[in-house]
Parts: sequence; structure tokens; C-alpha cells
Amino acid sequence: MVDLEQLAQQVIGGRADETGRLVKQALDEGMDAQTVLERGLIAGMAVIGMRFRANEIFVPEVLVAARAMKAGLELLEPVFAASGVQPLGTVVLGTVKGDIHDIGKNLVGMMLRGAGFRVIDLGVNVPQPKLLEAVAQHSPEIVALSALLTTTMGQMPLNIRALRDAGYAGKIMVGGAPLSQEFAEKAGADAYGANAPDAVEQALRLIGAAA
Amino acid sequence: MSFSLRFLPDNRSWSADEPVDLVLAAAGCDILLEQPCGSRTVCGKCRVRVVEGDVPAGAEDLRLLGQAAVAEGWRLACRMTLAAPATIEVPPALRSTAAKSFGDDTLFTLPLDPPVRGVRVRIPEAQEVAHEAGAGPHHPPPGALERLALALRAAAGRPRTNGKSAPVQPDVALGTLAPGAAALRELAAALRHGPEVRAWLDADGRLLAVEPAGGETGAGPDCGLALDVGTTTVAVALVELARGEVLASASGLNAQTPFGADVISRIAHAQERADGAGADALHRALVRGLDGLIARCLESAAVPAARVRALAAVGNPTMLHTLLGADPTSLGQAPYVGAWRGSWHGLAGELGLELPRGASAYLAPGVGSHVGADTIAAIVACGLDQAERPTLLVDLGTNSEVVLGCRDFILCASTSAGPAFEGATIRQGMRAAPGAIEQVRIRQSGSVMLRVVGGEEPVGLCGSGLVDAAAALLGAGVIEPSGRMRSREELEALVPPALAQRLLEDPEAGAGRAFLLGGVAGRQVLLTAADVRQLQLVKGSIAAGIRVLLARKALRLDDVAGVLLAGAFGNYLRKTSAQAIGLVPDIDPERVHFVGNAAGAGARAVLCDRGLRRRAEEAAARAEYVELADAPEYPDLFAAELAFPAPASTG
Repeated sequence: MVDLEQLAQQVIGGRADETGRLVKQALDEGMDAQTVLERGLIAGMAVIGMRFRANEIFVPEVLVAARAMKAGLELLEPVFAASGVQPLGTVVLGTVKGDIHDIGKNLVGMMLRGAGFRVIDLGVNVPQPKLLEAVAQHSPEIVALSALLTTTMGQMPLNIRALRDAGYAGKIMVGGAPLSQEFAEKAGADAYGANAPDAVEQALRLIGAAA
Repeated sequence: MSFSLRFLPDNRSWSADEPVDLVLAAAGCDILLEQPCGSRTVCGKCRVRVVEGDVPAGAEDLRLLGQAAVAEGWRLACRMTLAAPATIEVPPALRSTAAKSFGDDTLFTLPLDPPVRGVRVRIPEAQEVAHEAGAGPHHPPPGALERLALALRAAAGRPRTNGKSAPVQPDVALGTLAPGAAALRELAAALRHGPEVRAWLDADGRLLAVEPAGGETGAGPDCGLALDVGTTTVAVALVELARGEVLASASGLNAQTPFGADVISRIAHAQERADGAGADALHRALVRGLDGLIARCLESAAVPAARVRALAAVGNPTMLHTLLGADPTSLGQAPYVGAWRGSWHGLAGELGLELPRGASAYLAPGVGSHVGADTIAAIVACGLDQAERPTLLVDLGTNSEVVLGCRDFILCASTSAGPAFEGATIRQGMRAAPGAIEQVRIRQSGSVMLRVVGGEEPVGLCGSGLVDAAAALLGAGVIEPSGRMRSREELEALVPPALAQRLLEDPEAGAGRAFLLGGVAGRQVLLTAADVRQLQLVKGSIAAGIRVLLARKALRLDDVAGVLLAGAFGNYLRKTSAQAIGLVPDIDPERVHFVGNAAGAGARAVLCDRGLRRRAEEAAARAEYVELADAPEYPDLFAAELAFPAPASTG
């Protein structure tokens, strides 16, 4: 039997090949895919998030861990699809209009994928019509918006209002260096992600999946 | 109802009729408060103390300053709006400024070709030149201006006759003179004293100023002002135009600081007001601050303002927009394009500075996006545009620019390094003011040696101290190359106990480890694990920027002639430390050179010499701008460059 604790360790260490190998072995041994996801991959990413907040690890370690997670998820997804299990939820993600910063946004995307979300990444400098169109098309549980400049964070309340006016009833979360919890509340967002791991936690909270 | 706010220790007062932001009221009394994080309430460094008056603390005050400080009356200046009388104490550390230089005297090869020249001529009588001016017997005689133009044209064809007046270039005298109102007024006034006048013309042949030949200001050499308009620090040099010599210089905090610490917060201030009032406030603050510095220069060199014939300004696009009073809003949104990009040529009177209205004003050209005239000036001052082999220039500042250039190409990029070196994102970061740790060494025994500005008890860490501390801790093994701070337990097995003891496990609950650099009990100076991460972000963005530029030209570090480090802060940096943390690439240290405030030196260069001005124009025209955020390889390079180099084996 595959030791799921050991699988989590592979994710933490960012070893994609080993992560994939263990996931495959677990599935071959008839282990429940949901258990592999939660107690192996997500457990690993939870440790990564904790260590990131404590400044024990930094962006590169999170990136490789997320890549390892992705290698495992790719093997799990067909199993979920076959058994009709949906991913945790869909997130439409993007950096607001006028802003072309994407490192933080990409990190959030990778970690959300790592946590089991389906992520539709609209890229940077996303105009409002493009955002509304993507939301209409994918009916996401969560819309996540990023802004790195004080001159572009003003786009947040505008986008949020437009989303609500268009009838979007799902959750909206925001993040980026110049933002704060206070700003997020004023802008009408449902959550504020202070950094990538925090964004994942907030996303899990928003869909009610977190403990 | 009117109320009064009093500021200590200056004991200046400001009266208001309606609720007023503290920083703006203070600025109204010429007390500039630094807001390192641009009033985003993240740094907690703009603390002031309420001595009298009722100013309730907010959640942000408690979060960033703590219960004890709040009880003592400390508040965040950036959050404070006052509607009732109060007395506020502003601690001195909030007002420090860094000095800026204007380059050494190797900058020029004499003789210079100044862009403004004074020439002594006699304005001919109307009947003497009637035929030349095209006036027939039935036409009215030509005016003094037209006759002056004829005299200047004639003088241009003659060799110099008078030791004092330089010959006028032929292209100069052939212009239409296009005088401003001030020059015409001066011409009319000069006529009362006789036909002999001294006239000043710029390189385009524009008549700038006129005075009677025996006038007072013409007796001394012509002077100019080089303005280095930095986001944080503004510097002015009074220069003798013909020789390029700096007669006096002064620098101070940019008076726009109350509107935010970085370019983006300044733009945001302008953007907030559709009627242009925000941009106007930025312009007035900047000009008032410049006027003060200019007055100090003129006074210390005993030069009358009337002798200032020219000014040249460099700065990033946002600074030059606000110097002209132009709205910088478009610079705050992708694709970050301003109202103009090239150079601007006009009159000092148009800028609103307290200078002769007819003095020539020149704003050097920029490259594009946030790479501005300051970078072009630095390129010219360092001779990067004429280098035979590709050379790297890194201008360290609030925004750091990276340039790879030589006589064949110039590539520029702006890294969003952020104000870590100025201290904003560092827990106990500060400017190089008294009490700032500027050097850190760790001995074999594990003892920590600090050098503190002013020799005082350390209270914080300036940019060079930050780099030095990180380099020392990396070398000693306290920090791993990944940037992770080792645990006390790991260190006890690895380093002398004296060093291991300084490692504090989570002193602030939740923020991770910290290393005790020094300070007395209760006022300890720590380098936190989070600080190290901030330094990594800066270092990573600069190093990745360098790699993107090298890749664009298919060059390797070995192909580069050298690395030039510019910026006011760069001068205090230790080369070995900058290389130890990978801020400067790993090349032979002899190929790494500090060039000081290259932008200031460049401002002086384009002020004094038309040849250097042409070089700036030419460099700006051919410089290419590389948008790092658009470079597909940038995210991976950035992630890879976040790590520090592995320390060299001890020895």
C-alpha cells in the first residue's frame, strides 16, 4: 500500500516524477482517488502553504511543489471524470485592465489548481467584457482578480459591480500587493487573499470545503 | 469652524476650516513626512505622536504600532485626518534625506559648447539698416528686435572681437529670435540705456534675455541649473555654463512625498481628480521644493538669480510630467505611455520656477514606459552609448533600471524592485540617517560587528546595511542560499554559540524567525526572515532583468565589459556583499564599478554641452525598451534568480 504521508512529502519536496509514480501506484492498488487527493496531494500543499507563511520557504519551492501536485492531479482527473466527481470548483482568474503583472497571479493559479480547482486563467490586462464573457461561459464558483498597482486597483470595485450587474451570483476574491482586507471589503469582494497560499485557503473557505 | 494644528519640534502651525489630512497640513508648514509605503498602511513607519488633542486610534494604528505605542500617543500619520485642534510631534527620522552628487570633473572635455550664449552687440540705428530690413522709403523703419537680428547675423559672420563675448554660431543668428514677452520687455528697457546690449540666445536662435551692455548680471559668468528630480530625493546643482563647474549644490526630499512614496502612488493622486487638481498639486509641491533648493544654491555661491540662463532637468517620466504640470495618469496604466517621450525645450517661466522667465529650460528625453530621462542621462554620463563592448548599467533606486548597451545598441528595462533599499518593505528599514546600520560583518568567533551612521545606537537598517547583513548571514550559514533562515537548533550544530544565540524563533508570533543584529533591550534591530524574502524579490527582479537583456542580444556575462552600479545608495554598497547576494552578477570584481549618481552627472552634462545633449537625444532615439512583464522567459528567470548564490567556501 502506498503511504499517503510519503506522497505528501513528495509534493512538499517538489518531486513531480515521484509524486506521479506514487499516485499511479495508489490508483493501481485500488485506493480511493478522493483519499489520494485529500490525504496525499492537498495535505502536501497545506504544509507548503504553512511554511510559506512562516517564511520557511519561498516562491521557487511553492512553484516546484505546485508542479509536483499538478503531475499527481493529472493522473487523478480522468478517474474523477469517469466517476462523475466534479473538481472542487471552477475559478476564473485574471489581472485587471491596465495591469500586466502576472507572477503573483500565476502563483495563485498554480496553487489553486494544486488544491483541486479548475482554473480558467484569462491572463493580464483583462478588459471587463472579456471577464464577463468568461464568467458567462464557465459559470465559475469563484472569480479571482489581481492588481499590483495602486493605479489599477480601482478596477476592482468596477469589475465587481459589473459582475453583479450581469447577474453573477458566485464568490469574488481579490488580491495583490497594494490591496488590504479593508479595501477588499469596501470594493464588495467576498474575500481577500494576502498571498498565494492564503488565496487558496480563502477559496476553499468560500466554497465551504475547508475545515 | 477654524482650528489650528501645531507641529513639534518646529513649533509651526497650520490653520484649517475643514477636516485636513495630517501629511498635507504638515506639508503646508514645509514639514515633509516620509511615507515609505505610500500610505498603504503596510509599513507603519510614518508614526507621529499626538501630544495634545483627541485623535482616536484606528484598527490600523493598533495593528502596525501596537497597543503600548498607541497608548503613548503614537499614530500613523498617513491615516490621520484632523478636524479639531491638536499638537503633533514629528520624529526627526521621518525627515531625513540623502545627498546626491553631480558627478566628478572627468565628465567633460573642454571647451564646452553651451546651449545658451551671451553676445554683446550694438543695435544699429533704424536708418543704418533700413535697406537690409527690406523697408522701402514708404515703409515704416524696422523695430529694435529686427535690427538686433540683423546685428546678430552680422556678428555671427565675424570672428570674435571681444574677449568677453563668445561668437554666435551662424545657425543661431539666422533664427527669427522668437522672443518671449520677458525678452521683449527687457529689450525695450535696454534701449533707454543706449544701443549697446548683451543678448542671450539658445541653440535654436531664440532670444532669451537682453540687458544693457553695462548691466550688472552680464558682468559675471553665465550660470545654469542641473535638476535631478528623483521620486524620493530632488537635487539641484548651480553650474558655471562655460566651464561645467559646479558652484553649489543642494538636495532634499521631493516635496511630493506627502502624496506617496513611489511613482505609482503619485500617479494615483493625480488620477483621483478628473479636474486636474491632483496633477496641479503635485506640480506646485515639486516646484516649491525646487525653488527652495535653487535659492540655497544661489545664496551659497552668491550668484544673483538673474544670471541663471539655462536649466536642464532629468527624472523619470512621472517626475518630468509633474514638473511641467502635465497629468501623469496615462503612465499609471498599461501600456504606461506618457503625453510625450522625447525632450522638451522651453523657457523656465513656463515651469513656474522662481527664475528669470527667459532662462532656457530643457527636459532630457526618455526611453518609454517608466524608463525616463534620468536613465538616458546616466547612460550618457557613463559613456555607455559609446562603449566599444556591451556594458551593464544598474541604477538602483525606488525603481531600478537595468541597461545593456554599447555604441551599437541600447536595451533598457525597468524592474519593479520596489523600495526595499529605502527601507519601506523591511521591518526596521530606514534611510541612511543617524542610527542606521550601514555595515555588518560576522567574525569567525561568531561576534557581529556593526557600523552605524553617526556612530549611535542602531535603530534600523539602511539599504547598504540590508545587503551587507544578508551577505554576512549567508556567508556564516545563518541563511541558506534558498533564503531560508536556519533554526536555532540547526545553527547550534553549525556555528559558534555566540552567533546561534542571536537567532530568535518567531519573536513576533507568526512571521517566522529573525536574527538579532544589535540595539539595546527594547529597541533591538532585527533582520527578519520576511526581510530576507523582500530582499530576494528585489535581487531576483534585477538579476532576472539582466538575464532577459543579455538573452535578447545572445550575450553571456563573459561578453560584458563591466557592470556599472549607479544610484545614490549604490555608493555605500560593498562590492563583495552585492556580489555575495547576487545583486551584482558573478564577474571579476574589478569589472564592477560604482558610478554614483549618474543621472545627476548626466543632468549637468546636458545642461552644459550641446554635444552631450545631442548624444542624449541620439541615445534616447535608438534605445529599445524591454517590457519584462511581457517577456515570456521572465517568470521562470525571476523564480530561479530569487535564490542567493551558494557562498564561497570560507577561507
